[in-house]
Order: sequence, then structure tokens, then C-alpha cells
Amino acid sequence: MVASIPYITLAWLVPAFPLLGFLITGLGKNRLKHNQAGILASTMVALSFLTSLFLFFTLRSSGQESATITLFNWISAGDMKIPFAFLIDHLSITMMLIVTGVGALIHIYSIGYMHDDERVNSFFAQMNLFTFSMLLLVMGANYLILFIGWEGVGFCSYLLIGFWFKNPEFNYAARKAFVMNRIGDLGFILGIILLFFTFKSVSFTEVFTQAATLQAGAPLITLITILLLVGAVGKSAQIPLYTWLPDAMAGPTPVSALIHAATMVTAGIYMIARSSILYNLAPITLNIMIGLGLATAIFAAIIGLRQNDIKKVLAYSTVSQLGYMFLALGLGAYSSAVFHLTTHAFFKALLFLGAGSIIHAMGGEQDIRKMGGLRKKMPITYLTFLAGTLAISGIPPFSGFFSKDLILNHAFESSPILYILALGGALITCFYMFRLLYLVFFGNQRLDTAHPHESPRVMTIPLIILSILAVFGGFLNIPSLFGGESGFSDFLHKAITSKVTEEMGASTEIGLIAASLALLGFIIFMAYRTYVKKSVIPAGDKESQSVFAKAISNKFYIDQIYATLFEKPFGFLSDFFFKQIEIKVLDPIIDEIGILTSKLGDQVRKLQQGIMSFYFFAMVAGILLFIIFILIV
Amino acid sequence: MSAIILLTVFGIIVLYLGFAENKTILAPVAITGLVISMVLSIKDWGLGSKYFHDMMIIDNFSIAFNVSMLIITILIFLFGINYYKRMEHHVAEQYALMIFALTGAFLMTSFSNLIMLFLGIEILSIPLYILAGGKKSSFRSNEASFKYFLLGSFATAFFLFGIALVYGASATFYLPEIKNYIAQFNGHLPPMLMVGLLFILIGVAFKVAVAPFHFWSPDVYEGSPTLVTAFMATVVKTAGFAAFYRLLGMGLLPLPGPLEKTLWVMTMLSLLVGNLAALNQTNFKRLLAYSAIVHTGFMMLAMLSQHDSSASVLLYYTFVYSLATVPLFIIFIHMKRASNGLEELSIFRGLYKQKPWMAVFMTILLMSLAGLPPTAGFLAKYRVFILSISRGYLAISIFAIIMAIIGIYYYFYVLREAFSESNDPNPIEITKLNAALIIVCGVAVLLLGLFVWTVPI
Repeated sequence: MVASIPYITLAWLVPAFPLLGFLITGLGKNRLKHNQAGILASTMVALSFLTSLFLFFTLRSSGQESATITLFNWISAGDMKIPFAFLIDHLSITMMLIVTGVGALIHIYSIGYMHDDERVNSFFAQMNLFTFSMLLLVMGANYLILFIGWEGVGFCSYLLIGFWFKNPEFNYAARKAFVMNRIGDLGFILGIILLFFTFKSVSFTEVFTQAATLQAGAPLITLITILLLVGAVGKSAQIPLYTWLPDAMAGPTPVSALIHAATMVTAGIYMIARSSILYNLAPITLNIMIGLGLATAIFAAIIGLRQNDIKKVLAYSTVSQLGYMFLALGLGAYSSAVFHLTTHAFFKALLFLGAGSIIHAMGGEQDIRKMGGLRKKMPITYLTFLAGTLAISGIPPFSGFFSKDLILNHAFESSPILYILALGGALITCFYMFRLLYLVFFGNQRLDTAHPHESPRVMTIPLIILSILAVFGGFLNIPSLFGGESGFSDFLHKAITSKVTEEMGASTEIGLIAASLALLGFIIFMAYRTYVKKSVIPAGDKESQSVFAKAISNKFYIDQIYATLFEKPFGFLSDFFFKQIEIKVLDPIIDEIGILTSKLGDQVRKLQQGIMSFYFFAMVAGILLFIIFILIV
Repeated sequence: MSAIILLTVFGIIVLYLGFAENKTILAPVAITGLVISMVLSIKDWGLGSKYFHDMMIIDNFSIAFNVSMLIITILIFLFGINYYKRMEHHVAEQYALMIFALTGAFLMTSFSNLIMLFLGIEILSIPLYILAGGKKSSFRSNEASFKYFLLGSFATAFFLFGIALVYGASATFYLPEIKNYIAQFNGHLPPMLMVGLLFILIGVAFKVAVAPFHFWSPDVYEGSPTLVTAFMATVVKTAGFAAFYRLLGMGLLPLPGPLEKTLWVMTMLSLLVGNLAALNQTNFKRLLAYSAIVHTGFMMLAMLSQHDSSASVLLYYTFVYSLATVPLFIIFIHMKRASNGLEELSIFRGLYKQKPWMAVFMTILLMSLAGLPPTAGFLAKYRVFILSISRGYLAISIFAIIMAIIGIYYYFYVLREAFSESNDPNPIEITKLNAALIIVCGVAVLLLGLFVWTVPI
């Protein structure tokens, strides 16, 4: 154990708390009362958060950049020596604070939200297990521990999407998420294997030290980074593996907030930021990431325009925002990506929890066409949701403005076309978010059967805290233009090697900001005019629409395309192998081998009938045969 | 040496204690003797003392095997407290004869002279002929004893003849000298020497029941009193392999090609014949007899893959195998008593319903015999395979692995019976001591598998 920093070895407590919570709530799920499980699980995550906070200050005051805490030697076989170790540096501590901080708030919120569910104890056990896995993912000091966490969060995500497993559709969604993630994971595993093959180690420090000596653009590095990218694309829902995330909204809303907005889906971003040294050496991969990220950001935003399920809108917006983070990664602005990840965790968790509060109030209704006029019935939810909407739309001084502006600036440095496309996506984001806001909170209530009411305090207090973070989170990283010091980026630069560092001219930057603000204002006004003034209610699914609008409503038929391209051929193949190969060829062969062996056994047993003269005969025969053998050969 | 002398003395003491009316002191006295002998053995660790003009060498190898056999014998004696309670007469002889047999086993682990090996084998065998017939009124016990004696003397004759032939060729009984003598021929031995060596190998192969010299073992295992069967299947097998290893691994190997091929043929035959015959076996004792033949094959594999670690692997394998086999026989004794003397596999039916803990520990023990993780049996097989593969015997290793897989079938057949429902379950009675011993063995098998990966020699 490296214990140069006092108390840093306490880091093992951070994942240990949620693991303990999982064990207690999981094993005692039939004995604990509903509130007990929730309070216990929340306390554990909160304790993790406090420990992380303590570690953060310890690390900062020590003046050191990182510490490795080795718990035990895990694998030791031949050349392969993999310790079970945690790496505490500025990147991992940031992620730990997000995971445990936002996680704790969502846990507390869930006590209220899941109060009436029968299996609430299992819910909290699974949430704690998720938190534990996520912490392994961000704390691991090598790719293998990262991978354990990676698989762990994928598994918990599967469990929690299918939490209400009595609904077959939800099960299908869970399976879809799992399978899509597996496709990405395959690439990730291959990447790790190739890493080990190349560097004879999977430890971050060793790999990066060795990689620094390599030449940029080497084919091996490009291949490794692409394979790792495949993993990240699966986990972080980028084109072409994004379709699972909107379906994952089948899970309870706090799950969507924690797993499918704030933490798990950002694992891919974290992993690439962590591997920044490798990615800097692979310009081809960076370009692929720019393309993928930008395409995803715009494509998902367009689909989001015509979604009518409140959670689906947010899901597509998550995919879109993740696209922005990928764009930033591709531009080599890793710390900007992590900064956007952070603010996104705040405002998207806030938006999801707000949506949960609305769904709760509407008695489970998720269709925004049936809502409306909730502003007066649910003032706290409205105000916090408004804060979240302003943040995600990038209105200053809300947090999203700072992080998105940073990415847009980097895009502009790279090429004005990139900037225009990225800005276009941001404007679409602004439009569908305000469309959502207006449809839900303004106008008149359109569903008579519901009796909306403000949610209990256990739900609103997390909302308020998150909204404060969503509003002020941007001040962590005020650019020099506004007299700030870019503290967050500086903090991360000790752990991440960013490719771009140069500062823009202040006049260009002010120009860009002014232009985008003007456009944003216009968009908000347009949305206001359409959905508040004219009270346009989006058309139902069956009404006639233009071809393009229909395509958007149907998510560009991507699911159907995937079904024809992959599901059907594979289904046909597996059907063929099952009915023709297995039943007709393999099964009989295997059975026959068993029957034959058994018959042979009977024959052998017949030799042994207790007759002494035969035994002597057999022995002598054996001896004679051996004598002949040794004398002749 | 003091360990052997003390063991003999205690054997005589136990024999004479038989005149006393009190049967209950026999086992404690016998066990005391074994424990003292064990302490004395361990004290000699690392000394490598030689006796009788180097005819005996008590080195770490022999001490390690001796201690392992002492532990198993103590286990058998502890089980004997309950087992011999029903026996009216001649209980002292049972303990005494086993102790004498153990003395022979000690000679077999430490000889360096063929005459000493012959003495060891005979001192081990003669008490066993009597023990096999321990149930004087049982027809099958007498039959077993007689068969064992006839076939045993037959094999002894060959063994002795082999020694004579080798002496005739080389004019020596000493292993190192014989090895030097063989070496000078460069692989082309004169037929007399060749046949002599073959007969010696066959003599030892008979003792450890290697196919095709295994025919005695299922009949004898089935007919003998079960505790004696347990002794034969474990301590006698360990002694036989210790002797085999001293003869080959520490002595004559590498042998000329044809002889070594003969041994490989025996190995594969043991694996194959044992497995095939066990598949549809319905008698539990015969099943374990065949399974013992298969395990012999694995031990042969470890022995023939010559390497510094062979002895350690062999010791680990024999000890782990013994540790699982003895309690299984004991569980069988209880089931047999509960079902009025039946020996079919069906007597295990309903065990889980009646005594769940017993079924669970039986599962662990059978898993160990089958070689499934996390038990020690897995690790033992794993180390054998690693050893043989690293020595380049890939084809035979693959064959052995397939055989190990087949073995799972019949071990789990027993388990299936234990976990299925019985129509008319008979009450199973078990003393606290026996229950504790079974649990200790099961736990030991697990702990060895998890934490003890190697034994020092």
C-alpha cells in the first residue's frame, strides 16, 4: 500500500459502504420494513459520499496528483500480475463525487417514489449493488477492475430496467439493453486483451508510461483505441448502438435518473478520458469519435422533437448530450467532456427526478399530451424543472451554458462547420426541452381523471438540491473570459492529457456566445408561441403526418431496420441450428455415445464374475502379452 | 526407525490387550501408539537416516508418506470405535493386524533394496489376507480372503521370480546399482533382465490394482468387512504407490522404452476399464473399488510424468483421495445398517430428507473424488494434469481428462439417489463421534482445496 498521503487508504470504504448496504438489504429483504431498506441504502451511499469528500480534500491538501491503493494481489499467473488496486486521482475522485453525491440524492428520492412498491427492498439492494459496481468502475487502477465494474453496472442495469418484470415489454427492453451492451463489451474485452498483449500489463500507470514512448498513429494503438471505443459506444449509447437507451426507460424513474442519465451511460466517456494518452496517439479514432458524437447529438435531438412520452424525450436528450461529450472527446478536449458529464449529471438527474415527480402526481401517466397546467399544482417541481431545462438549453448563467459553450468553442477552433452543426443540435435541444416544459406545465390540464399534487418532501428536497447544482454547477469552471480561472479543467489536467489547450481570442468568443444566445432566445419564443399561445397539442400517432414528420415520430425506423438486418437473420439461423442441427444431428450422436459407453461398461463388467480360474487366466494372459511386447519391440 | 519399532511394539501390546475383557481401551491405546509414532516420524524430518547397510533410507519422502498413512489409519481407528462395538470376539486382532500391516507399509516407503521391498509387501499383505476374512461367519468374507490370498501369492511368486531374474543378471539387490547396471546397456537390455524387471513391476502393479491385474480388487473390496475395505482402498494403495515411486521415480526411471510403454498401457487400461465397469455398477463397494482403479490410473500418470514435483503431486493425490474415501465408506456402513445389510446404491435413497447435513457432506466428498472445484480432489487432478502436460504427455492427458469427466457420471448417480425421495425410509443412527469425523473430513477436503495447494516433501 502506498500510504504517502495520510488516510488515503480509507478509499476502500467508498465501495465498501454500498456493498455492505447491498448485502444487508439483499439478504434481509424479507425482514426489513420498506422504509428501513430505503434509509439504510441511502445512508450507505451518503457515507460513501462523505468519504469521497474527505478523500477529495485530503488529496488536494497533500499536493500530490494521485495515489494507488493496493488491496491484495488478485491474479498472479506467469507474466500476468494484476493487483486489486484503486487509483485515486483527480479524475476518479470527480467521478466518485458525482456517483455518490447524485446517487445519494436519487436514493433518498426513491424512498418516496418507490414507497408503494412491493419489492422496494430488492430495489434498494440492486441500487446499492449498482453504486458499488459503478465505484469499482471509476476507482479501479487497471482496465480489468474497470471491466468488472463495467460488467457489474451492465448487469444491475439489466435487473433494474426489468424491475417490473411482470410486464413482458419491460423484460424485452431489459434484454435489449443487455444484448446491445454485450456487443460493445465484446469490443472492450478484445481491446483489453490487445492492450495486455501489447504492453504486458493492464494497469493504467504502466500502460500510459509505456504508451508515451510510442509513435502517434501506430496501427496497433489505433486498433486498441477503436476496440475500446466500441465498448464505450455500447455503454454510452452512441450510434449505432444507442437504441437500447430509450427503451431502458421501462425501469423505475429513479433508475433512469441514476443509471441511464447521470452515471452508467457516462462510463464510456470516463473510460476514454482515462485513456486520453492512448487516444492522443490515435488521430483516426479521434476523428471517428467526432463523427459519431456529432451525428448522435443531432440525430437523437431530431428524434426527441416528436416524442410524446416525457421519459422518452429525456432519454433521447441524454443520447444527444452524450453525443456532445463524444464530440468533445474526439476534439481532444477531454476535460471539457468530463465537465459536461458533470453538469449533465446534475441537470439530467434533476430533469428525470422532476419527470418522476410529475408521473407520480399524474398517477403513472407519461404522455405529455395528456398533461398541462401543472405549474400551479406543483410549484416546486415546476421551478426545479425549469432550472433543469434552462441548464440543458445552455442559457447563461446556468451550468449547461458553461459546459456546452466550452465544447462549442473547441468545435469552432477545429472547424466552423463543426461549430454550426453542433450549435444546430443545441438549438434543437432547446426547442424540444421547452416544448416539453410548456406542454407539461402551461395551458390547461387535459386529463380529467388525474388529481395532480405536489410530491412529498423526501422527493422535493433532492430536487431542490439538484436544481441548485444545476444552476450553479457551471461556476466550477468559469472561463477566463468571465474572469474565472477554469478551475475544474485545471484540476482535471493533472489526470488527463488534453490535446487542445489554446485559448481563443476574447472577441471571437463573445461573438459566438452572442450569436448563439440570440438564436436560443428565438427558439424559446417559437416554442412559446406554438405550445402556449396557439396551444398546439402534438398529433396522435394515427393521424396523418408528413413523411418526414412520420419518420421522426417512428425514430427513423431504426429499430425496424435493426430487426430486419440482424434479428431476423440471426433468428432464422438459430432456428435452423436448433431444429436441424441440434435435434437431428447432435442430440442423437451424443445420446449414442452415452448408450454405447454404457453398453461397453456392461461388457467389461461381465469379465468380472467372481471365477478365480478366469482371473488367473486373465492375469497370465496379460503377463504373457507384456512379455511378448517387451521382447519383440 | 524408532517409529517403526514403536509401531510394532504397540501392535503386540494391542494384541495382548485382547485378553482383557474391556474392548473400549483398544482403540485409545492403538491410536496413542499411532500418534507417538507420528511424532517420532516427524522428528526425523530432514535427517535422511540410513539403516541396515543402506537397505533402508528414511528420508523426507518416506516420512511424508508415513505421516499421511498414519493420519488415515487414525481416522479409520476412530471410526472403528463404533464399527467394532458389535463384534464380540477378536477385536484386538483387528487393530493389531492393521498396525502390523502399517509396519509393512513403512518398509515399502523407505526401501532401497529389493529384498526390503519384498519384505514390506509381504508384511503388509499377510495381515490383510486375515483381515479380509475378518467376518468369520460370513461366506463372502471368507471368499474374499481366500481369493485375495490365492491371487496375492500368485503375484508374489512373479515378483520374487522377477527379483531372482534381475539378481541373476546384475548380481545385486540394490536399486542404485541395478540402475547403473541397466544404464550400461544403452536401452538394449538382455531378455532376462527385461523380463525380471517386468515381473517386479507386475508384482507391485498387482498390489495397487492396476489393470489388467485388478481382478482381485472388486471381489475383495466387496467381500471384506467395510472398514477393512476402507483400509485397503486408502492406506494400502498409498503404501503401494510410495513403493512404486521409490522403485521407479526415485529408482529405475527412465526405463527402457518397451517397459515404459507397458506402464503407459497399464495406466490407460486402468482409467478405461475402471470407468467402464463403474458406469452401471449397482453395488456401492464395487463402485468404489472400480473408482479406486481409475484413481490408480491418475496416480500412475503423476508418477510416470517424471519431475521433481511428481512425489509431491502423488502424495497430495493419495492423501486427498484417502481423506474422501474413508468417510464415504463410513456413510455407506450407516446406510447399510439402516437397510438391514443391503449394499445397493438404492440404500442411499432418502438420505437428504433424513439427514440433510450428511447428504451435503457426502456431496462434498463425492465431488472431491470426481475432481470438481472447489474441493481438494479438483486440485489434485489439476496438478496431475498440469504435471503430465508440462512433461509433454498431451495425448494421454487428454485421454485422462475425458476419463475424469466420465467419472462424474457414476459419482453423481450416487448423489441422485441420496437426494431423491424414498418410499420407506429406515432410520439412520449415527454416533456423535462419527458425525463429527465425517464433517471434519468434508471440511478438510474443502479447506485443502481452497488453501493448501501443495505439500512439502
